[in-house]
Amino acid sequence: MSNIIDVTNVRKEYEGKKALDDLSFSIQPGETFGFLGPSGSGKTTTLKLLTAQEGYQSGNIHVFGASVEKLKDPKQMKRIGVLTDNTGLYERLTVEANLRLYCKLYDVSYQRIDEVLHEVGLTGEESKVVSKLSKGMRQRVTLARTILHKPELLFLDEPTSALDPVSTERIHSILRTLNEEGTTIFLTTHDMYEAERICDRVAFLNKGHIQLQGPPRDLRVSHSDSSITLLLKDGREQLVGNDHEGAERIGAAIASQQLASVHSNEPTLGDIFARVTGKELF
Amino acid sequence: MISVKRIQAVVIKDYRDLLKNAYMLSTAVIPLFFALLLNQEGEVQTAAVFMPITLTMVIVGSFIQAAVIAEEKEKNTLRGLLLSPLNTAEIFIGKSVISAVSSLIMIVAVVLIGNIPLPDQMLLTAAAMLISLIIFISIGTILGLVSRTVMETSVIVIPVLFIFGMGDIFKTMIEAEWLIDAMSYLPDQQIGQLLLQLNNGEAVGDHFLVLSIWAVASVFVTIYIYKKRRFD
Repeated sequence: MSNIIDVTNVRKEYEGKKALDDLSFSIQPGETFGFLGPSGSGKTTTLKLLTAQEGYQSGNIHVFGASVEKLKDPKQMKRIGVLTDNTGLYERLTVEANLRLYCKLYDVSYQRIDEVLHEVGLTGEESKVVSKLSKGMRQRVTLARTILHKPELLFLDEPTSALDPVSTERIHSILRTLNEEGTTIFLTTHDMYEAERICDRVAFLNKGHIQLQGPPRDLRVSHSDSSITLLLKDGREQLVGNDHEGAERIGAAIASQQLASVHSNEPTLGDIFARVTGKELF
Repeated sequence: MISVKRIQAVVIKDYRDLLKNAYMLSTAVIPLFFALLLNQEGEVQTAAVFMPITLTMVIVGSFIQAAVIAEEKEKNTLRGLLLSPLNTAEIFIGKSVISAVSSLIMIVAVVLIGNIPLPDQMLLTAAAMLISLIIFISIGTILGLVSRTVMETSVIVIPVLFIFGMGDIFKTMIEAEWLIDAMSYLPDQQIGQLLLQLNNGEAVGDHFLVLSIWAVASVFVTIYIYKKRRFD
């Protein structure tokens, strides 16, 4: 299957200062791809390049098998949905008026408004003025606007940034559903929990360069030290190896009825990022 | 290709938004006070009698346009439009219609309230107004694009108001001939002269030419700045 996004050796500079360096990755149709990195690592810049908002100095970017510049064609633009961290809504207008504008722009029936509000859990909120909505609800309206035209490819720039856990969970649930329905998702985040939960593959971006990429589970397994922690009923912890000796110690703990729980010590994506880059994700 | 449907969508949205924007609505009626203040009586003697019209173009055409564009940038809604199927021409036209229509309504009101005697040649008068609107709305778009906030727009529009809207007042304070000559090429002065000469039955081709150059230049500068600043 051909890739939906192909990025090859891309370099981007702002006034001589390097923002992205030799960036290469690809995304297959139906994938949820997470771009992880701390603030200022180049995540948003990458998203701007992938959506033809900005140009770049060298390399190649192909989206839907054609140069990214082709996205400026309204027909191609209809195939993507973009939710940036600061994509605004018209605050004096109602939820419905905001969505009606985009129905017209994307040539979508107004009936779709009810459907999409149902999808994001905002049924019955269409007559509310946007300025009266909570931050989480606004983000869901923005997401509703982004998926109104059922894009094949969704670009999301920190979609749950600064949202409460309930709103975050709702957004994750919506994204999982969209992905199950076949939407390809490119997601930037500095939330490793978010990445682990919804991404098929992730890439670690640091100082404009991809340090590591792969499925979250594979990365965690490959960076695991194979140790196992035993929590005993008296509160003590024992670290054992994933080997014959470790098995014997686990067996002994079970036999003595002292074992409370067993945990494999796989690192989180945040731990791996810190190990690979020497930086914390925040 | 330009889509009327998409332009219409932007216009309807802007119209609904304007109706709920007390700041813009109160700004739009300011020219009426100038019209009352500068109410004309008697014969037309100088181009200054048309100053309320150019003031209306600056305040409604330029300032409201600038504020509308600046607010789209400030609230990051312009990015949403730019990432939609709207093309550059559709955005320009769609975002200019409300300012243009508001300007025309206010010009008619100002003419009626201020007893401003318009020339009998309505077609030429309408053409002059149309070209002038293109200039002032383009200037407004430029100001909106270079501003980061609506508040910033209300500051940077002040010199524009003085230079492009109140030239007739400043001319009476200036002694340097070269400066008065240079000012005579400003669009507000050209419109005033054009309307005055039309009233007097004189030729107005030169003024149309200068206004057209202004219109073309301002549209080109607007497009250039739009390409540079739209995603800022």
